[in-house]
Amino acid sequence: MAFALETPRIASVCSDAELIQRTGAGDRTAFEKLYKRYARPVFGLALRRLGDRGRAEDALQETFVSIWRSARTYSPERGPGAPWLYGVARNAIVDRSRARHEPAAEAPDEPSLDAGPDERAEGAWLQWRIHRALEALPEREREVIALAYWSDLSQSEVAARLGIPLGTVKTRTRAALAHLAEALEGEI
Amino acid sequence: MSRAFEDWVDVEGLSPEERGRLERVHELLLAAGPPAELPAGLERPPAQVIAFPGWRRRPWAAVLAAAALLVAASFTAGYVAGDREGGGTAVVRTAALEDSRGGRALASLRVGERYASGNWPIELTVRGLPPLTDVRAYYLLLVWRDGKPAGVCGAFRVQGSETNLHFDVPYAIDDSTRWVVTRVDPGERYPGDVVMKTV
Repeated sequence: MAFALETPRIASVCSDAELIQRTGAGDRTAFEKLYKRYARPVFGLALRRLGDRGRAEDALQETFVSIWRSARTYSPERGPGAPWLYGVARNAIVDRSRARHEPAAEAPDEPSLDAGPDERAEGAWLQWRIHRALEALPEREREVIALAYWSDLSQSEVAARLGIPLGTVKTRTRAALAHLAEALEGEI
Repeated sequence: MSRAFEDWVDVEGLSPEERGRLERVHELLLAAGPPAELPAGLERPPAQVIAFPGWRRRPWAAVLAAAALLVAASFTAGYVAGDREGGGTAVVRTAALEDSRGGRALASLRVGERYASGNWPIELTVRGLPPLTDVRAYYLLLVWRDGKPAGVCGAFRVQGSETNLHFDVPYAIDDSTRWVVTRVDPGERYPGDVVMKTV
């Protein structure tokens, strides 16, 4: 890769707040780390709100342009990094929606028979946190969770797919849930 | 497929409190659904601050058909510097430029493989630079070495929130090459005032 990265290596576990602050100081490695953590949650949020993959892709890029641009304004004293990033993403998505003079597919103030704006806002935030927490799981735990929860496979079928005993699947699932519970402390 | 917690998780030895905690996460996972899969090209961290959605999404055939975008066509194979996915000319260098006066201007720059003619294709995407009201004013993209201009890549004006530009330049470009954007107002001497510089 020709683009030289002159910044020091970041330890494997860095808080969001620290990464945002480093990004604010122009640290591209920290910015890329944030991207790795949050690209999928941002894209998922944008997809649900905008209902269009192309626009969601634009919103994803807008979000990270905004993060790069405004990270220096972030202050950890005012709160942790995840809500700040969520706010930036939400604003970028709303801007993308307004840019086309079209309402968001899932505008928070629209009436719904299923859930009120508060519930949907809370649901979107929880979903954001869960998907963010998934990104931090060890690969082998994330793999088990993805197959067990979203592939319509039974635990036995997951075991067969991965070539591991059923007991190991259940143990890894438990470990993954424990890690997620830790990451979601305060939300559950 | 069973959705019962004990069918999914090894519950042996779990305290009621811990079980309740894990069960809550289990329910949240079921309710949250799978995370979105990133589209190809957006799976990797951006090599530059502003991406180039036009290149990324434009089908190869459409690029070839668009004669005006001939330069862009040379880049389509690579999203990140050095890539050669799908054939074609690779992007050999990317760079980001930011406002040198603390403002909101941002730019991304990509350099393609050198043509046989000896020129390097450059694409520049600029956001946040103010449009120039005086018709005689313009911006310059310059290669910058040792605190001074080393070559003009091209002159341009901007319109709207984002402007996409293409230049071919003969200068040798490598990892250490830096660029600046200057603003040249009527009567002002070359190279004008530096308004953006390589991050």
